[in-house]
Amino acid sequence: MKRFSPVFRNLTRKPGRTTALILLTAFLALSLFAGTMVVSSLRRGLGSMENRLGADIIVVPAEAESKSSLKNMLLQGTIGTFYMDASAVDKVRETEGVQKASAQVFLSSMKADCCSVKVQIIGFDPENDFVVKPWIAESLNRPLGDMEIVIGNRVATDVGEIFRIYDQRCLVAARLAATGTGLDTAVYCNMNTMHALLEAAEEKGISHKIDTGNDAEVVSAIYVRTLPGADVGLVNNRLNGKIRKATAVRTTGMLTEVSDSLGGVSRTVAVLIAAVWILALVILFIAFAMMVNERRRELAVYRLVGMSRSMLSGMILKETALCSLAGAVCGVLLGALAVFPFTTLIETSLKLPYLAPGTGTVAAYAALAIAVTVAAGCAASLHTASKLSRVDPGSTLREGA
Amino acid sequence: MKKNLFAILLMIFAAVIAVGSVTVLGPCVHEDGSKGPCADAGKALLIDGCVMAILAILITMVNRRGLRMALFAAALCAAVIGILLPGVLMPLCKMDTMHCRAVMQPSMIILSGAAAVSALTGIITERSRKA
Repeated sequence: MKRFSPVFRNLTRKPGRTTALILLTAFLALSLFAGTMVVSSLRRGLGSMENRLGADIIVVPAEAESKSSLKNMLLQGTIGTFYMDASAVDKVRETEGVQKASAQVFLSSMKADCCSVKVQIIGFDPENDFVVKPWIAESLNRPLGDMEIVIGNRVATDVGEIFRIYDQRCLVAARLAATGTGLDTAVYCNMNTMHALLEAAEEKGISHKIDTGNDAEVVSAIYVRTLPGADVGLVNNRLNGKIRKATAVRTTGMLTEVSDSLGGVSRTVAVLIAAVWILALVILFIAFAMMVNERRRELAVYRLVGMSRSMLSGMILKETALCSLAGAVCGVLLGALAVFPFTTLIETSLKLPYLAPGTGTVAAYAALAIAVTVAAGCAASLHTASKLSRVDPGSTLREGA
Repeated sequence: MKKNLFAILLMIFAAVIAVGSVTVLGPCVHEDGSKGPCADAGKALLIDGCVMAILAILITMVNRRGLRMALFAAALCAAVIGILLPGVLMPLCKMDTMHCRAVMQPSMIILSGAAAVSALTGIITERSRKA
C-alpha cells in the first residue's frame, strides 16, 4: 500500500476528478457486463429450448393457428388449449418415416385456484413419451403416480404440497430444472390424472370437446421423432397430407425463428455496447488530455524532487488503474443488480427463452469485464502519461512564474 | 447539507418505495380488476416507505447526535423490514412471472437495501461526528 501512497494522495486530493473517472469506467463495465450477461442468457435459453423440445415434428390442431400458438406457449408460457381427435396419434404412428409419436393434452387451470393466475397443465403418456420423461427423470427417480404432478421451475409451490386444480387435490412430486422457456410455468401429469382433471373441468362448465361434439378422447399435440436418416421435411409433408384438421410443424423451423430473433437482439445489444464504449472512451481520452495542462506544474515539481520519467508515467498509470478498477467493480456490481433480480422481467419483455448462466460463467464474465475496463482506462491514459513524463520542469515552472 | 446527506438519501429511497408501491413497482392487478394475495404486501410497503420518509424528515430537523442516531437506527429497522416484507413476512403470488415477483419484490429489496445502507452510514457518520 505504501508504494501507492502518492497515488492515493493524488486521487483523494481531487475528489471530483476521481469520482468522474470512476463513474465513467463504471459505466463502461456496467454496459459490457450487463450486455454480455443478457446475450449469454439468451443463447443458453435457446440451447435449453433445443434440448427440451426433443422432437423433430409437432402435430397440432389447425385451430392452433399453425405454429404461433405453440411457439407462444413454449416461449412465453401463454396458455394453449386446443384439441383434436386422439385417433390422429395412430395415424401419425402409421406414417412412413415416423419412429416415435407421443401425445400430450393441454389444459388451463382456473384463475385464482392456486396461483392467482391460470396455469398450463400438460398431460403426457408415460408409456410412449420421449419428450417430458427424460426431463422429469432429472428430478424424480420413480414413475409419476396418479393424481401426482411435477411443477415447472417457476411455479412457487413446494414439493410435497397439495396443488388444487379444479378442486382436485394433486400432490407435487417434484420440481423441474429451469429451462428459461414458458414450460417453466407449466404443470405436468400423467394421462390418468389429466382425464380426471378434464372431467373436473367439464363439471365446472369448461368444455374441451372438439367440434364434432362427440366424447372421443382428445389430444392437444403429438410430438414426433423421425427414423434416423429420414427426410424430416418429407415426413412433415406426409403428416400434413394425412392428418385432417391438423398442422405438422417442424421444430427446426420454430428454433430458426427464435434463433433469428435472438440474433437481432444480440446485434442490438452489441451495437449499444459499442456505442457506449466509443462514447465513454472518447470522453476518457478528452478528460486525460485536459489533465495534461492541469497537472503540468504539479508533475514538474515531482521531476525536480528527483522522480524519473518512468516513475512519473508509472504514477499516472497507477492512478488510472486504481480509478478504473474501482469503477469497473462498481459497474459490474450495478450490472449484476440490474440483470439478475429482473431475469423474469427481461425474459417476458424480450419474449425469448432466457436462462442465466451458472455461477462460474458469471464470475468469469465479471472478471473479464473488469480486466477489459481497466485495460481500456490504462490505454486511454497512456498518451497522457508519456506526454506528462516528458515535461521540462525548469521551463514549465518559469512559465507559471 | 453535508450533515444531512444520508438523511436526504434515505428520504429519496423511502419516497421511491412509497410512491413505487402504489404505481409501477406495486402489486399485481388482474385484468378484471381483482387483487392477488400480494396486495397486502403492497400496502405494507407503502406504510413502511412512509415511516422511513417521516424518520428521514425528522433526522434533518433534529440536531442532537444521540437522537439522530436513534432515528437512523429506527430507519435501519424499517429498511430491513422493507427487505423482508415481500415474500418473507407477507405472501406474494405463487408464480415467478407475476408482476409482484418479477418487478415489485426485486425492486423493493434493492431500494430497501439501499435505504438500509444509507441509514447504517448515517449511524457511522453520526458516531464519528464531534458532539
